[in-house]
Amino acid sequence: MKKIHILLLAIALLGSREAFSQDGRQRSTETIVADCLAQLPAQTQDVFAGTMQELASTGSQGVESLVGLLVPAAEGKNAATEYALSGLVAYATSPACGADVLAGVRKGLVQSLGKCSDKANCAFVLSLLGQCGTAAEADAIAAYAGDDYLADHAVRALTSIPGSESALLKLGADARNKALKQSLCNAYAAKGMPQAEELLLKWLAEGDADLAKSVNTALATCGGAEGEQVLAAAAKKAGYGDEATKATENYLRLVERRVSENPAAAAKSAKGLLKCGNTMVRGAGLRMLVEAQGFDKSFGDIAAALKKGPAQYRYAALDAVPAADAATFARIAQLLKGCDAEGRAQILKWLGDRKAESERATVARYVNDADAVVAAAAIDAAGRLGGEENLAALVEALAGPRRDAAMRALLVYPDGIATAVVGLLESDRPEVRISGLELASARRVKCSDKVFGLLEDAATADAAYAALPNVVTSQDGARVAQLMNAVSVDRVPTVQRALIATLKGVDAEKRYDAVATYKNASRYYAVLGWTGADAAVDVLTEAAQQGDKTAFEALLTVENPRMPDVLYALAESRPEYADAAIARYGELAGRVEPRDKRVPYYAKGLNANVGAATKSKLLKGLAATYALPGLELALPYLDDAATAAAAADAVKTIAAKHAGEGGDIAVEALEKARKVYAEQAKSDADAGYAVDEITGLLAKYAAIARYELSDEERKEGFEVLFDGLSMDKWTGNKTNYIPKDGTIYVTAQYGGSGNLYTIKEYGNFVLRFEFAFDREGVNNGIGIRTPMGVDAAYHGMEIQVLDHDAPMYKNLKVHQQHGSVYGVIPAKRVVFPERGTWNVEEIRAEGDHITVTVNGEVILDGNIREACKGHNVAPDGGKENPYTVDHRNHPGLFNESGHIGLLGHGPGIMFRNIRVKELPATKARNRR
Amino acid sequence: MKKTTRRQFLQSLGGMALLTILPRKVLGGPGFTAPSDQLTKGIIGVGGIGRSGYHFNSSDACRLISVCDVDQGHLNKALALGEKKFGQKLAAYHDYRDLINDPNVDIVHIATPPHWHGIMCMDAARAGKDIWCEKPMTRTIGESRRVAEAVARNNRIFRLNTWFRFKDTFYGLGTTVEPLKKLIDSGMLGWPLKVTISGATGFAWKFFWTGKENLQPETVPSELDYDMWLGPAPYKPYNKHRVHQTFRGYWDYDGGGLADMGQHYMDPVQYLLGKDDTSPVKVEIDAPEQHPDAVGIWRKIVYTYADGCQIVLEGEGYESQGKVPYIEGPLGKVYKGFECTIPDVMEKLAELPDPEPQQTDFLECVRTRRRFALDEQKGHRSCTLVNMGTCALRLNRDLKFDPEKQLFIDDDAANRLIEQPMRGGWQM
Repeated sequence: MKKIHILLLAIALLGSREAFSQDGRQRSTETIVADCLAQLPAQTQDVFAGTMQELASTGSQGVESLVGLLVPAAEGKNAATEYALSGLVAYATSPACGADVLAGVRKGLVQSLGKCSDKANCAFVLSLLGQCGTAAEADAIAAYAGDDYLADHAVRALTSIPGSESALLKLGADARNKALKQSLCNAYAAKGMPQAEELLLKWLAEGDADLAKSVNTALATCGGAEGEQVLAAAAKKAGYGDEATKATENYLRLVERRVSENPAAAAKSAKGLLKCGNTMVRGAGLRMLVEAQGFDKSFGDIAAALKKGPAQYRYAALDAVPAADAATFARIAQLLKGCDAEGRAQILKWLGDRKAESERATVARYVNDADAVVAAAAIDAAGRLGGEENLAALVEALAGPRRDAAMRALLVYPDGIATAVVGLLESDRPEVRISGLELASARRVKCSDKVFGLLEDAATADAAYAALPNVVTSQDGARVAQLMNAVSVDRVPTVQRALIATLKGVDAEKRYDAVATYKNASRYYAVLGWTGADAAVDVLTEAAQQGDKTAFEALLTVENPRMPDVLYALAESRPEYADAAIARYGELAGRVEPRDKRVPYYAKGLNANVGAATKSKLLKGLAATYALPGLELALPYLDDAATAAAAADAVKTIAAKHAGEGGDIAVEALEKARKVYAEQAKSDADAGYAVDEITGLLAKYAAIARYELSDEERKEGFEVLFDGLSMDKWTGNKTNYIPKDGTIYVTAQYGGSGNLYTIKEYGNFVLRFEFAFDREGVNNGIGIRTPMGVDAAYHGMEIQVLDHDAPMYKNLKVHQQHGSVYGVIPAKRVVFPERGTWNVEEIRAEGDHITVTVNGEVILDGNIREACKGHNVAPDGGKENPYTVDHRNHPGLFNESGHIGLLGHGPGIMFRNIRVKELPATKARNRR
Repeated sequence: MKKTTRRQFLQSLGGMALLTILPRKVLGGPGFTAPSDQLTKGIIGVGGIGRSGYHFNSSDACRLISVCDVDQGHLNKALALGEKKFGQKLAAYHDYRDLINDPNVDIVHIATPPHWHGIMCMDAARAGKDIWCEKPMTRTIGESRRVAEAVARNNRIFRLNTWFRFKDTFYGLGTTVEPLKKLIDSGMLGWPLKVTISGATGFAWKFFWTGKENLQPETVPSELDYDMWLGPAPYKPYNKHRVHQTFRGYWDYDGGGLADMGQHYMDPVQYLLGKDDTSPVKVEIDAPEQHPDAVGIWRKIVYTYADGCQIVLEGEGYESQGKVPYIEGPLGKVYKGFECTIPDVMEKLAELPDPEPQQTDFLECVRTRRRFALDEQKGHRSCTLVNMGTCALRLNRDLKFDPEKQLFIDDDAANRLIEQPMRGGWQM
């Protein structure tokens, strides 16, 4: 509200005129503007559209009011106004918006331009006109071309505006200074204005190189026959090289433009360029030639380029060949013979890049070429093109000096290679068989019979074992198991992978049994682990508990819901496994969804006896929970240099998602994290941003005023229980009850459970606090004289807190209404103010006498002992107690003291300013 | 004349080589085959990434010989680093045109803020240099289009520098994009596909790149040539937050985290979806209103191609909850860490041919004049993704796009953002 008042005042000072717009509420333009400014920047598209519609309803007046609010940067803040003006222009230019709205905005911008005295603000308004203006506004904008500061802004605005050509030409005719002429050149260039050619040529005659560059650029898009002549001559004079006036480049651009306008003329110009000494320019010429007269007529020039080179010219020639068909590919391929090695290589690669499948056979001929460069290019192309010829050629190349390149090509080779691979495995030459094994493995060629046959051969054994896991099928299980029992230890991991591969085709629940039939247990641990079966977990856990490392390592790979518990237990009983076990435990915790449910896992993991590296991993996982309780968990690790980096990252990541939440703990964690980043920033620039980010986050807490007692209450002896930030006096469910913006805010999203309690116990006292509901039907309660962890309504006392006006409670019993001693004494029904409003409450408990006051009205004043005639529990020891209102037993009703608790029933309540005064103990006769 | 490779030439000169280095092309010409020749490069912009270990280096294949910056402080630091790293004095330029026109330089490496990229690429192309340009390629759709034209016109080799389409672990996927490409090309996921780039799938949008409103004019530091720093950008009073490490927060120079990370994240998607020669037909936006000068945050941006493929960007703090697939097709989904709903997917992929190899050695491309894997055309299209997003964001509305004409449909104001006129003496 404060913001609106200041703006209203500002508007009033500016001298509000008649300016009444006729909206239904009879608000003045100024009021509408002020109301809208208070909404900005709009956070959603709906608010944006609504606010802008309101602003637009004022016609041009709103714009004028807004521009009138802009002040020089040194004197105040324009952001809100800039949001409004820019937003209004964006809204008005939307295709969905009516033309009259846009007209109003334009009119407002033009009218206010004259009243805008600060040049930076004036430039801003010009930029807005650039976004929405039309030819009608062009002259008003052009008027600023005489101002050194604003000239460029004005010309840029005109450049963006369609139909501003005549205004731009007029400016050009009168232009005296170079800067303005250059700006105008940009404008003519952008707009491609042939009518500017005469002017441009005149400026060119001034002989200024800087200006000539601008002019030449403009001529490229504006120039006609005369411009072309001038540029052609200048380019020639420059030897078709690059120089200050950029004549060559712009000549090329001009010719390029004319390819579509006048192909015959462009072809003639392009042809002329082929003779020049600059390879680049020749390349550009060739491209334009092909575009202007087509491939057929240019083929001679392309062929010459490919034959003679150099490489760069060839590149241009090949690039200039349009999307090609088989006939074109054939014509280019024919040129291979006439080229040197470099040229051949370029053409071959081009055939591959262009997918010239019709030239497969041609490419295949060069795959085993004597020239290394040519052969490498052909191999690359052969792999891309596929085809039988290329497969044969590549297989042949495997036996030659370019074996590695041929292997890569075969991995890319688009068609099946199984037959060729089997052929390779049958070769007499071991190196060829090895290539075959590698290919079989990489492409999963199911040829296990052949591979089994090569296991025994010393020359190929390594490659054959390596291939085995990738070539076996589910039929090979028994054979692989046999192998497992026989092979040397170093082959075991490979054979395990092979066995797993054979089991992939077996139903998941049958895998364990399939493995369990094999003997030599420890060699099968990895495979058992892979099955993930409960029985496998049992077997492996037992072995690992005995210290069997193989079993433990297998456990680290098991996918089974029991694993977090199993690993944690192992970490505790076998310290030598703790780090590895907890690292895996953390990895599994990271898969729990939703994220906040991971927090208890990390909390437990951090308690394990593990090293800093493992703790850092857990902290990294904790960061990804984005859960507020993570701040407190990470806190101790900020002090240890070995874990500080991970802890700081966790704190920053979590706090960024909970700006202003978490109270003193968040502040402490953030301050420590900032120190950690400040240290890192000495050698890492990114850490500097983290420092800035944390500083920004901390500012949100600094803005929270800590609650302090009034003088009167301080004298009376009140004690603050919650000051807006500190939770020091509380214990219990600090997961759901969190400090946010100076309140204790209850939200359900953090996955905690239970109630929040004062650490101290209280007997007789006055408790004062404020509360507000932020959603309908909130149900909470104040526990008094209650033990922790029990249902306070029965084992202590609960003073009800309830949004009892919600329709869902229309059948509520009176003893459940807000303020009641739950189930024992009904309170008078409070009429709550609008939801979200703070309510003031006092609970006074003195012996058996309870008083509850809400918003100044006493709603309950009663004696608990009298209310149940002394029978807090049924005299007959039964469950039904006729003496209490709810007919239930309240065994804790007469507790002498206990904790004060906030009794959670779900989200949507805020508490603040909680304080308590202890009263002297009542006389013993009141108690039994 | 007896032919000498440059390396032999340099060897004969020993340590005195600097002033007499000849560019490759001087020694080139008909018949030259120069796989062993050392290329040379110059870096424009040595305040940030340009002075990092990624780029500020020399090798047998390519030697850093010159640097340029409009901040004398940056330049001094770069020179000192050059002495320390290479034991040599680098050529130092204030005006990038001098570096581009230096005949010793073969490759121009552009590492300035993006508002300069268009002009510099164009100037480098017409001066006959090959170009290595940092992402984002340019800050408007029109500029990257014209860079692509100029590079082609001048037969230059161009590399837009992001690399995930051909190497390195692709953020949350835990693999390179290669298996993803195979998976998509295999048809196992079906078509059309929806790709979600979000914290939930392993990508961060760096929302710390937001600008500040109400900047107060400040005195320009003596070491900085602010007019030249601005170059083609509209003149606005200096404030240190506008320049150097924080420039990304201002529309005049860049486009926040979207522009910083967008091409890194979306270029590989463009490759995966096979959209290197086209653009989406629609971009939808969900964001708070943007300030006209300072870049803000956004919640969601959705691009839709003509065939129904979609790219969904979720802003930091606005990620979908629960398990979100990175790629979703009618027949299957892929999650973070390449977790796939298709059983045994890696095995199935292994049976298929690898994707066609890409030309990923830039220096090799320069030598053999073959297009680089991420060349000017592909770079222009993936940068168009970024800049379509910034247009929608600035106007706060959904836009329709014609990928052929490369214009927005029925939206004059959006089209005015495609070409943003340059200041005074600067033009492309």
